[in-house]
Amino acid sequence: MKLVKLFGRNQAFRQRLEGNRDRLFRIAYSWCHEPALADDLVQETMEKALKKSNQLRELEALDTWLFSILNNAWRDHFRRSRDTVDIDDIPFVSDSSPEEEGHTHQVVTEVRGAIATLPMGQRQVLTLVDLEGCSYIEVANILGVPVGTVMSRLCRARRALKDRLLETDLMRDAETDETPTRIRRIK
Amino acid sequence: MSSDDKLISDEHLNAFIDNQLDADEKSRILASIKSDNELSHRACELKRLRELVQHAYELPSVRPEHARPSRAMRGSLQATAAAALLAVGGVIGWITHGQQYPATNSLDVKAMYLDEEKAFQTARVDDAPTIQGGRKILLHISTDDPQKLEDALNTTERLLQTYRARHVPVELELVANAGGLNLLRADISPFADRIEDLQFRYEELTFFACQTAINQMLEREHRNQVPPLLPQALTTPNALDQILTRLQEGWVYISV
Repeated sequence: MKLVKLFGRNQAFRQRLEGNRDRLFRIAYSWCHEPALADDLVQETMEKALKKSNQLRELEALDTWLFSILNNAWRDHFRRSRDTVDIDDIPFVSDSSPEEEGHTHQVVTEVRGAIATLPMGQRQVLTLVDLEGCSYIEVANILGVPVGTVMSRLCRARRALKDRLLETDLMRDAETDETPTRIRRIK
Repeated sequence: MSSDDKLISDEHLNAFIDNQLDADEKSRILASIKSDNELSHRACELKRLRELVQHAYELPSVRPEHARPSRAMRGSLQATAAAALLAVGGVIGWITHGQQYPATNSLDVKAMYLDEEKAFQTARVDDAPTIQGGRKILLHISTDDPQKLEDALNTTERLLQTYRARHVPVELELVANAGGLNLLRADISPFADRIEDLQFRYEELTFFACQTAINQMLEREHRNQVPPLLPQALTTPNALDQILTRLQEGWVYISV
């Protein structure tokens, strides 16, 4: 009977793991903005999760557990490439430009560009809260930092985004551009 | 700025927006927001930022598993199997492509969108820009002409069918204002059953009725009671605002 239960749990674990692949990729991509690297990080996370599946006591905690593995994989990646700099202090320059992402819409490009300038610690907190809807406590557990740090990082991240995005011409235009007459019937 | 506003720090307001406060704290902030425009503005900005972040990563770039093998997939056996599968898939795709999408099956619907310079452009809906691997389309209906109402539903269904067959994710909003409201009114819509059926089959479809148009209709017809809308219909404060916002966000616009 125990064996059957164990088998059932493994099946459920694998299914839920696979079901989380896209969400993991989205978060990894929002951290590194490199599709290939994000894919590698997700693959590494999935492999580690499969190897350590016995460490997960409750399937309900799977999401938080996976994101913390992803965070470790991301930090390992940084340790390999930058041994001397604290990951939380790295100010990222925008790694995309309108020219490079000519096919991408302006708003998406600008928001991603703004997020890319955030220090990594702030970026991680912001994306886990905004994209994954994680609670502050969950984020604290995933990143291994106190809840107060989560709150202050989130606050600083949103202040920075507000300065960059809501004060730009793009957003002002969106708010004030009274151009109904420019819409014309097209069919 | 009121004294309450000063008391509510940015951290606190963030926690409110992210639903991290208990009921008492939430009530206190809600009461302050109600009486304080400045605070309300700050809360709206935070919400808007969150929406922008979500919009920016709705569907991130496609995972490059076929373009660049991940570490776990490296190995000659997998490579051989993948190559064989690709070849078979390619042949099957080549054979069936003509049957599935004959040349005449292209979506010859004119659509408008904002380009990177924020200039309005028109193009066939198929040629309009694709956002993040999926399509976001807003259909606008503003006439009560039954033929046009039917056209709106036909176009909607055709777009949804085609993109589903192509496995292209799509999000489609049908926004009705002025006479187009008739489409979504439960008391007079000639297409209630069809709308129910469409909504049942396509969860990526959303119907919006313009609240401003509803208010104007009440005033014009000297009515007190809002006409019942179909259960599938949501309301948007103003159709024009919705259209402009969506255009800014990169949606393509189709006027029926």
